[in-house]
Amino acid sequence: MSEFRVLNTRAARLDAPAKATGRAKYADDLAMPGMLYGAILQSPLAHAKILNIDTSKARKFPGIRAVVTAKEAGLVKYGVSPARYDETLYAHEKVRYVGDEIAAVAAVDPATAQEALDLIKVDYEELPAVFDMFEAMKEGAPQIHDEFPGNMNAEVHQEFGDTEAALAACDLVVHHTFLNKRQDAAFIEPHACVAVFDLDGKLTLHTSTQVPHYVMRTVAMVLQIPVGNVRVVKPYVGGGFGPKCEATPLEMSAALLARHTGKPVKITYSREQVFLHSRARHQFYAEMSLGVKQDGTMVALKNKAILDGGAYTSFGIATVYYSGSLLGGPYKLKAMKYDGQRVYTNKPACGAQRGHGGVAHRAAFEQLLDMAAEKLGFDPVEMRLRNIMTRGDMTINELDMSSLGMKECVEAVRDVSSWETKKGKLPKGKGIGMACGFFVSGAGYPIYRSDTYHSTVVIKLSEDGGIATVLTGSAEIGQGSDTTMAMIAAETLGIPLENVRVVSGDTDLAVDLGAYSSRQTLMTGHATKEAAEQLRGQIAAVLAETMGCDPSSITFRDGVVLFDGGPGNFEKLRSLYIKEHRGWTDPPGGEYLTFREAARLAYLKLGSMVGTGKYKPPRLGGSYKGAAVGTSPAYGCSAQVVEVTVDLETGQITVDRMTDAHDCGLAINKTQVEGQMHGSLSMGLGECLFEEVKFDSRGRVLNPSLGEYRIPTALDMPNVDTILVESNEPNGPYGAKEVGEGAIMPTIPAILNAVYDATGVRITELPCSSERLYMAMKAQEKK
Amino acid sequence: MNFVFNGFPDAFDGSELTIQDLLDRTNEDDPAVIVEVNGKFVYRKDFKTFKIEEGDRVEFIHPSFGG
Repeated sequence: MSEFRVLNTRAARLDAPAKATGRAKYADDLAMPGMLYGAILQSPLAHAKILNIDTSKARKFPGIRAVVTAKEAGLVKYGVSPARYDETLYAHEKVRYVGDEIAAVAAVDPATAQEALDLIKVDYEELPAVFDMFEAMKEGAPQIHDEFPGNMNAEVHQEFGDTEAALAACDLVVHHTFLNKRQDAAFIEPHACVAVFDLDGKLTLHTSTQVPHYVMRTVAMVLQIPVGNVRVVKPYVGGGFGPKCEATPLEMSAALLARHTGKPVKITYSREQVFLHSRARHQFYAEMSLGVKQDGTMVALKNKAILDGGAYTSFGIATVYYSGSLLGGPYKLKAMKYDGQRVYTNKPACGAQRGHGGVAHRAAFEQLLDMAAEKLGFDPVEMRLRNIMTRGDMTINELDMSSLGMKECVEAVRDVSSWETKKGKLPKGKGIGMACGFFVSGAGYPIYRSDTYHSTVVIKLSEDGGIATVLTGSAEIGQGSDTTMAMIAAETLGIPLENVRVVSGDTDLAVDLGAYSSRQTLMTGHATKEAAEQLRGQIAAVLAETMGCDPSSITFRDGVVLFDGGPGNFEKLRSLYIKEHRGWTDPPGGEYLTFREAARLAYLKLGSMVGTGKYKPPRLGGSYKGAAVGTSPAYGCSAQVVEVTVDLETGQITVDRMTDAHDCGLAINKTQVEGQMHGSLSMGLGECLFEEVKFDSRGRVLNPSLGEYRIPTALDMPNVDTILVESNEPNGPYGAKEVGEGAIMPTIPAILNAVYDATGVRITELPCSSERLYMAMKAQEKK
Repeated sequence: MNFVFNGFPDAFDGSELTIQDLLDRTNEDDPAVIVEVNGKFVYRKDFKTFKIEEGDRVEFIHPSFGG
């Protein structure tokens, strides 16, 4: 029997009825009196000086209410990390990619806005452009940002232990290279926002974002509005996956146009503009060497990464860091060396997409591990189990595995997939492969240097009725965070889930860094739990004083109050409550005092009942002076087995079955956790087999639509067996930690390892399309 | 000696200031910390010997800020 009353169940989502009935309002559904429509002029050239911008005709076009360029917007630089503010809202001296923003208009309708864009005349002097990261690094390559010679945007070089010495002492060193392709997150809802100023000069931005807090700060900074006068409200959001983790030119343009016109302004990206904005998965080149002993012990890893960052930094410093750091686990290593470089090119900027910098390098590493296992004669599962980390281990780069159910995940997928009856026993053309991965459960630091709490939450109890309303700045983007916080609040208060409401995604309510880095369950969850505990304590104190007992003897469960585990003598309290509600036909009854009555009593004694909670990652006791915060307070992990059929005549790959086990600490809502696992697997499958953003020789996106950029549908997905592993994370609320991104880590390598098992061909470049596999099989035959 | 630290003017009165000194002074040392001086990456093996000069732009970047 579960120790929990609400947690660890399959509770229905709070947002499901609104979404299923069409009542949910997304940003593009919003309309306001007098609202105008904005549109953004974007560069048709990949690299060019701007000689002149003539907006005169556009300004006179009937139906146009404002035209803005860098002249009106100003030149405040912004970006994600303050160490790399390398963008301005509009290009003013040169454009750096096809799609770079130059101007914006506000009009009475969208068609008029588009027509006016055509009237803005921009004189360019085209410059040589570079679209390949290796070419961009060469001497003499076109220089994209003057401050970054050689187009070197960011570098990370780290070494733990003496890697060369460790490799030299190994019995076997295997080498591997791997190249993925730039991806798009392909969320169903394009970016959209409505900006409106009130008569006091306060801006409200309703926007499809994962990070209301960061959008608020960036808009305030760039448009020089006092930050207390900027409010960001997130409506329903149709997916984010990372690219909606930063303020966009769409949001800033809408706000600027709203300021200029005095009217609300709506802007919505087309699907093509979503591709042009990107901020999605980088292209990564990986070069790795893994040293092992004859007995299968992993010893040392040398890892090199080159990232194609596009024209601006976005999250790039974190991306290039994670490509190395996230290989520190989940296997024990004695030495690790990482050299990562992120390079500018004249293409849309890449940013943080699900799994951030870890996905491509995890794919390379898990293949490398299989290669080592094969040479040593070990089964891939056995090889991993020999080296796996467990709870309490520290990675070579000091990531603290305060909980880690990696071994349990591996054993679970091995058993549920019947690995041992299949591996090495399948006919040619059929294959089985496996891989592991792990990911942070929230980042150790906020994006800007600050001691800010990462989450604050307020819970207010209704003055009557015992209804708790959770007020949070966290972002429900479809992953279920509202339901998660409601469940945590209900469990902690001891009330039914239906008595909890959540109001979220509004910067006026509380601080929350938002939905990224798989942080909200752990961080917002902690703050929610603390706020609920505070409220519970207030009610218990009032009851204790009234009843003449010890507060510690009072517990709350299923909407009732227990005194020393029993009903207690509360008749006088009930009588007072009933007499306050003369004429009501549904008085409280039953042998226990209800939470509704207790909360009412507390209000009568104390006034408004409010609990507050807060969270920031604690400082860890690491080996470095200063006791760093660390990369993350906790890590989720995942193991997968994938089974494929390959048509040996055509290279066509069918994924027959996927078995995934994920350690989420504690599944707050089992159905939601499984949903995140399924979503991660489907995203990984698409990246492995289909997805690639393609460019022509002039830097224009060739496939900027979901018809041409192929993502998996239900028809592409196999049967998926999901297994929940619950390792009870000590740093998580009720033991919970992430699932949103850890589960994507093993997917690509598990598929590629299965393809190798089926064909004997090792694919080192994505996507693993039928053409690529066919050509690789043919090349193999000729050897 | 005046220098720019994380985008803001800073100063040091002593005779020399190394990167490691500054990390210790600010309690910011961390296995992951990225140090850049005038836009160039500084290797950890050089932290104890790399001296900050007048007018240098020093950045301590904690790259585990997520995404």
